[in-house]
Amino acid sequence: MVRPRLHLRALTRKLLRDVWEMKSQALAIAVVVAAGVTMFVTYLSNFDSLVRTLSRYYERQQFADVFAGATRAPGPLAARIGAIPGVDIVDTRVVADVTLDVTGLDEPANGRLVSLPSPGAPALNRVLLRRGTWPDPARPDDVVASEVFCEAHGFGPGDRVAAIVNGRRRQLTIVGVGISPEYVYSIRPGDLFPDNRRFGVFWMQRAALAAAFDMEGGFNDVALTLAAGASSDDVVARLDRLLEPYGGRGAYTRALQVSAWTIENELTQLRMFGLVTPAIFLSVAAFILHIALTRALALQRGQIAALKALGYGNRTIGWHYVQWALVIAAAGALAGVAGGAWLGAKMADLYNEFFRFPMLDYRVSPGVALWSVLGSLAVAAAGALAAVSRAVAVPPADAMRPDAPARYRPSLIERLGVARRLPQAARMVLRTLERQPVRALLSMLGIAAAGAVLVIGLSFIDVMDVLIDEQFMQAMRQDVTVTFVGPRSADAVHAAARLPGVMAVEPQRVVPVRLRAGARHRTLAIIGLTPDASLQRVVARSGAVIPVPPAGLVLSRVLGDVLGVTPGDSVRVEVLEGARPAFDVPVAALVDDSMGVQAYMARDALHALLREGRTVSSTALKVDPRDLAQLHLTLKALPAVAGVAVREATLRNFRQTMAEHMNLIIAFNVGFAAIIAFGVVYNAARVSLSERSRELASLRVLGFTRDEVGRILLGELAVLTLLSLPVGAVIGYGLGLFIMTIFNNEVYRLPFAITAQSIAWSWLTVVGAAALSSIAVRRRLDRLDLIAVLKSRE
Amino acid sequence: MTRLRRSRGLLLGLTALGALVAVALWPSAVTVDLTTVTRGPLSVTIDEDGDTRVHHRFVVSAPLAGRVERIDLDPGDTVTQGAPVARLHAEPAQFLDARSRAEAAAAMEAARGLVGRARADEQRARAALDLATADLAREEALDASGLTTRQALDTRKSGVATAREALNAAGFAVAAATADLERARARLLPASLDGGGRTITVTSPVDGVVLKRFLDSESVVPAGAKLVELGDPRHVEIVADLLSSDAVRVRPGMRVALTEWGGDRAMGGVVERVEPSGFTKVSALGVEEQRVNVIIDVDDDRAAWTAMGDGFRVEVAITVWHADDVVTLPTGALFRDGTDWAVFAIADGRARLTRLTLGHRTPLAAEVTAGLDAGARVVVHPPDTLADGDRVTPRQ
Repeated sequence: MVRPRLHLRALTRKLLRDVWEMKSQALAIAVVVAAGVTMFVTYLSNFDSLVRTLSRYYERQQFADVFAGATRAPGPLAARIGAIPGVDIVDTRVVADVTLDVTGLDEPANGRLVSLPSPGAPALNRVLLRRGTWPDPARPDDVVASEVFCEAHGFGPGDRVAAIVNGRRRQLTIVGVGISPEYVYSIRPGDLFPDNRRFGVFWMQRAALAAAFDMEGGFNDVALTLAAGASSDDVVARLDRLLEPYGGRGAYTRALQVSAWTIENELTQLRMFGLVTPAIFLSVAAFILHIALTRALALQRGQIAALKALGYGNRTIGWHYVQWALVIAAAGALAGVAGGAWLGAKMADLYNEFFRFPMLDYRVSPGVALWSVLGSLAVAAAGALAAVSRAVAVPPADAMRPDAPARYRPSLIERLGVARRLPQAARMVLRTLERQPVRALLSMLGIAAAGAVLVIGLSFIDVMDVLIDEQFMQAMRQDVTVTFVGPRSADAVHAAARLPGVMAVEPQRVVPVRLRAGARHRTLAIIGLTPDASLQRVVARSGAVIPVPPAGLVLSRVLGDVLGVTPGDSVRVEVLEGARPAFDVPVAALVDDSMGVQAYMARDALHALLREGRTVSSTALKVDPRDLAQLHLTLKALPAVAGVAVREATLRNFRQTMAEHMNLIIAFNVGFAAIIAFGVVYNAARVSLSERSRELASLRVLGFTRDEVGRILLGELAVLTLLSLPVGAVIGYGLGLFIMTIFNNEVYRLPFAITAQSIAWSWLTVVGAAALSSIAVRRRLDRLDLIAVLKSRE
Repeated sequence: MTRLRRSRGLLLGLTALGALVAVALWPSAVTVDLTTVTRGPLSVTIDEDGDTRVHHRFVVSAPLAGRVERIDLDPGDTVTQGAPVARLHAEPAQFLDARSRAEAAAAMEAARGLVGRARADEQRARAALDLATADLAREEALDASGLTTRQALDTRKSGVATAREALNAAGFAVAAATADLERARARLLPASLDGGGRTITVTSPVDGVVLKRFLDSESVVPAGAKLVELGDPRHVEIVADLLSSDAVRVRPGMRVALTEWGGDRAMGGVVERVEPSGFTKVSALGVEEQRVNVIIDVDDDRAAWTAMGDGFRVEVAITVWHADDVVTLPTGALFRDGTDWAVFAIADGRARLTRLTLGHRTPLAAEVTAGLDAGARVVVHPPDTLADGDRVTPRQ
């Protein structure tokens, strides 16, 4: 039986055989390519899927374009809002924030009650019911609860949650579980991270909600969609004017809505990482490929000459060798696409924790896969082209001759006279390095790239530690922050001091304002602090505590940039509550802080500005842990309390979330860095071995032991690795700093930080990876067929 | 030789690696804020809001119903004892409606008739008297001649007396009827603001200052209506309402610091009295509480706070406990270790968990009764990652 043979062209057969010859090197390169492609596919397929899911979700559930809140506006105003040119659909609602008493939770939780029109579905920001039913009009205390909240507590239809609604305790019965495009990312205002155990959104019937908050015939929240071509700025301005007499708090577009903004930010990051990280990997892969191919081609000189002599043209031969690179890259890319698809699905699951979509339709789009493969092929081809064109251009006659020996010269160090005491192996290593300085430099940079990847990855832990220290140990040192429903008289401070377990109280006055400087403005809240506060303080990124001056505003530096003001300039402060006065206030200082856009002022100065007594909006409390449970019980029952933030709970939540992801991030970082380091060192070693096999074999024959010969070969790699450590640390530091600066935005400006420990770990990893590949090469060296090598003509 | 070199090289490599591992695993020093435990005074205070109150207040009210003239005194004016505060005019008569007027007119006619009748009666009585007198004269003439009996004479005499009294009675009846006529006529008099011109001046009972004016425009007031409130703002006391559980700890004589009254320094005061009964009040946070008033006297230099009036807000801090020389540390350094209070004390550059017993505690500082000595350095607001034995460096 004759076995059917694959009718491949001769060159193709040669290609396959040659690639098989260098299979371990090819594997190393392919793995680097695979890593890069995996990252590309993971990030960009998630980006893609999120964008698609998002736009479909927003459209189906009619996510609004403009949002605004007010104190209390009359129902008929809705018609006037609808008459604004450019407005398509208007939906007015009643929204209220309440304290919740959830069984199983000691401290009070926060709930946002959003009204549902009864009967019917809301016109905009529609709720998608996942389980259960809509509330029965006959039962005012029925609610639809947000899915993430129910999941966090294990609640379902039939469970009850107690809420302090406008001073009275009501038992809300969960009859349905739902999600809404407005709360894809549901976070309590003021928190760093979503805390689904302590914050939930509940949709309640409008009649019941309006009755509880004296909103019958009125509304305090409005959402609207814009017609095509409408100017959102124009609509926002007009809406503000309409709502101003009713306590309007400033309208904003979808871009600034918390949930939508966070997702947008996440998408930007995904895209950025998806393009930058693979770039690093693919460049390293291209570099390794170039070196490996150069060597392989050098070995193939004779064959190239023979092929040329036989009549194969330059282009054919060139294309044949480029195909080597392409085959390796293609193998890596395909593995990468598969890996990316798998990893991407896992990442999509992770997204589902934070962002709640009806269904995250995760798919690797053909576009992403195609681009990743094409990209890797292109990069590989680029890496190969230089080497190939050089090798192929040599005329056949030259090619058939052995290559001219390299230059002989003592190395620089020897010439300086320092080398007298160095062992021979060291001198050999130095000369080799000096003979091909560019390649040595590039190899070192390749290993340094691995080090840099690790530094950036591990710095994430350090940055989080610095952030935690800054936010929870420096800026916010109180145990509990209690926010009141509206400003209270100064008596509230004494009343707060009498709560169970309270050891110290620091009152704050928080005023919602619009800051205006020229044409630019921002809506935020001025926080009035006591001047020598020890619990809540203003802390800069550098760790310095900024004392609040007796008069004038202290703004976040990013806010100063946005408004275009520097210390000494004045900003117009338009108060958005009460009598809504407006003043010009000088900017006393700008603080380079990490989170949000903040404005601070001394409490006394703020009182003087508002011409009020010592009113209080919130208090920072230091609490005896023994009485904490009692305090929570009391706070749950106080009608004047709007929200309670417990630092320990927030910190624990933060740390837990971070820890979950940290291990994943570290694992991937170490893995990828090891892949790069291993790939570069292995290939460099193999190439070096291949080039010097004759010399090394001669040494062996002359009587040098395997160890001694091994040291000559691996010493070169050791020197490169050692040099790459500080270089990698520096590149990693610089790149990390750069990335942090790019990700600076109005919500967070994390300081870049790296500890000596992290750098030590990154170095250990690189050294470890290099050591592993050295061992692999050393084994090959040991098994060198001395006779065959010595007989080779080269 | 090579073996020595080789092992030296190996040794070098291993030490370098070891150093790297050490750096990687070495726990770094935690940066902390430090403070020193000191010896000094400590006061435990009860802080509350209070209002000023003029001690002796006099509410001047209208002694009877009437028309009060416009009160020209303004709050802040000084009055001396006996100075006029307000002038009161007698109350004018009421208006009459048509029916009452008709009734009154009819009543006047009736009275007029009665006067006529009374006058007629008087005339009749006068006639009777004249007759009786003539009869008596005749009888006396007969008696002089001895032609009549004694009895007849006596009868005539008593007849005269009776007739005389009847005339008197008739005269009185005329007067009464005339008076009734006047009364009926008076009911029909037009209402006049003057009411007869009677004025009463209400005077000030004390030297003092007008604190409040309840009425300023001219009006008709019932008896007892409040007109002005007078007092002497030089004698001002502070009233603060404390939680009943706090009031139990307050005794007369305790020192009080008064702040936030608008001046540049705190004033001194002393607790004068703790009222015996409490009352219910809704706190600023919305819960009902039982509160007790505590009266505080200001014993500081009065000249420093002359601008303080009645009903001004003051923050009071009543010192319920004070010690001059105790070991104290900031409350920011305290945390719980199980059921005990503890701090991280610094020893040899390391943080050591030290249990303490505390005495009195204020929001800022706490008294240490056992566990630490003055001069010890402790960590303020320790980070939650700090553990016993960790190396620490002070924050710059």
